[in-house]
Amino acid sequence: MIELRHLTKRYRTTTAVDDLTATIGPGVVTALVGPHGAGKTTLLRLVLGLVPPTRGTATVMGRRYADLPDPMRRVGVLLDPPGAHGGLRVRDHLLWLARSNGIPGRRVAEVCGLTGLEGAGRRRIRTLPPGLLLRLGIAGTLLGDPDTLIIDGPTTGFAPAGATWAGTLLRTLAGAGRTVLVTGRRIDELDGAADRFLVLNRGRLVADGSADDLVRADAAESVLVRCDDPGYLARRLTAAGAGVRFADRDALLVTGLRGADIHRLTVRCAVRLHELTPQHTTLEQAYRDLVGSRVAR
Amino acid sequence: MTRTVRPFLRAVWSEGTKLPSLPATRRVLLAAALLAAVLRVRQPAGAIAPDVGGYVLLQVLTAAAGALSVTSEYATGMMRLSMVAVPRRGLLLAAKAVVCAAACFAIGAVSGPAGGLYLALAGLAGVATGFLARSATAAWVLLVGAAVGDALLVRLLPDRPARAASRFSPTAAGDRFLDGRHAQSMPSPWAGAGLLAAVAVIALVSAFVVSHHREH
Repeated sequence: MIELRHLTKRYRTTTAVDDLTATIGPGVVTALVGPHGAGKTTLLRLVLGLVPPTRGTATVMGRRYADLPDPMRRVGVLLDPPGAHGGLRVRDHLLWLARSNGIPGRRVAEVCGLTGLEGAGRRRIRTLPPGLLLRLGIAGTLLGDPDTLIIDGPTTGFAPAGATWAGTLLRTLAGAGRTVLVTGRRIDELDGAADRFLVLNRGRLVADGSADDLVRADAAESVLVRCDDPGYLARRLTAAGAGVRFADRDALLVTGLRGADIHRLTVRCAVRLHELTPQHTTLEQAYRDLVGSRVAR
Repeated sequence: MTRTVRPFLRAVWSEGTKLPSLPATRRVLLAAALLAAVLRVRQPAGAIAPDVGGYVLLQVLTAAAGALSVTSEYATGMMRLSMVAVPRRGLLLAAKAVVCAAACFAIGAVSGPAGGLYLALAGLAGVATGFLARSATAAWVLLVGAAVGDALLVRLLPDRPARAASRFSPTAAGDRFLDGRHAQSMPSPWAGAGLLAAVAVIALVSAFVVSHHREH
């Protein structure tokens, strides 16, 4: 359980996190998404006590992170960058992490087994391919068998196979009753992996809900209309306050009016209707509409 | 009590794992150990005082090891992970200081306890400088500057204040401490050691204050 109360972080000229209140509960994978500079990493650093808040509080299991005894036994953290020194061997990296929190050394071999790193223990971290680096990062989070996982951007710059593997693992961990918070810049990579999305833009929480909620709430939901005289209908629709643009020569994309209202209008002005199809936006589109044009590719 | 002691011991164990595993610190410490062994062999039989000239080089190596144990973490983002693993920054700094001081003491102790203490203090100054500077280059400039700078500054002063200042020069104090000779008009070797320790403690405290308020 992670609780944010009026969490605010101001720098001299910018507000990185702006009065954020949210509760991230157990049992589901919660994704924190937003474009570059939205405040995701700052938010995680506030939660982990790496930067102090200007105002508000962030607690993990009811306590400030810095006050947790043996924090890695309670919270597994993967940072971005992960902080694994390239000159260290995989085993030594996991060993110093384990020892810092009194975690027995045999857990190192166990988490290597859990993440498919068997046989890589003697390798230097800088020689690992990106897929194994991700596995090493996740292995580090699992060392203390924590109830809460905080993972900064596991899908950025990793091969799709690695992202799928991580997504499946996180779902399993959340399914076992753990609290899982993941961040990402691209919402489509987390679609299917996360149950709940917190959309952050310019430090503010602009949406909170499941993928379905986000799609349903998308203001730009549109209706495709095909008819005999699209030019005439377009003028009438615009007069009725709808947003209209041509999808192709004889099809209109109408926003701001529901299908039933459009149908009523066609009947009133005697335009023969060929097709009236609500266009379901994708999660990606809903996300773009939420954060404007600042979506990172 | 256990709320601080146990996390501290764990942090010490963790830092003790890092120090020989990180390539930078391992290499510099190995080089220092090798040099210390050579100096020990060259030490005349029966002499209790280590070779001061050799120790200036050794001191630079151990201070560099102390600094590298911190700056190599900052260079790779490892420091942030260390602070996530050990969120109490005072504990993290203290653990690094203790582990580094112990390693440096072991290296210097081959030529007697004075040598051990001297190198341990150099290592501590290195750790503190690493936290203050965060980059290896900046730490290097500060350490070398401190090692030779005070003698140069003393030389710039007029005669009388220069004599007064040289009484409090850490470098001169270190030389006297290693030498074990008690020159008249100068503080005793142990007062010199005290001065060195005070410098190391001041550096560590300022490193703690700075890193406590710094954002990571």
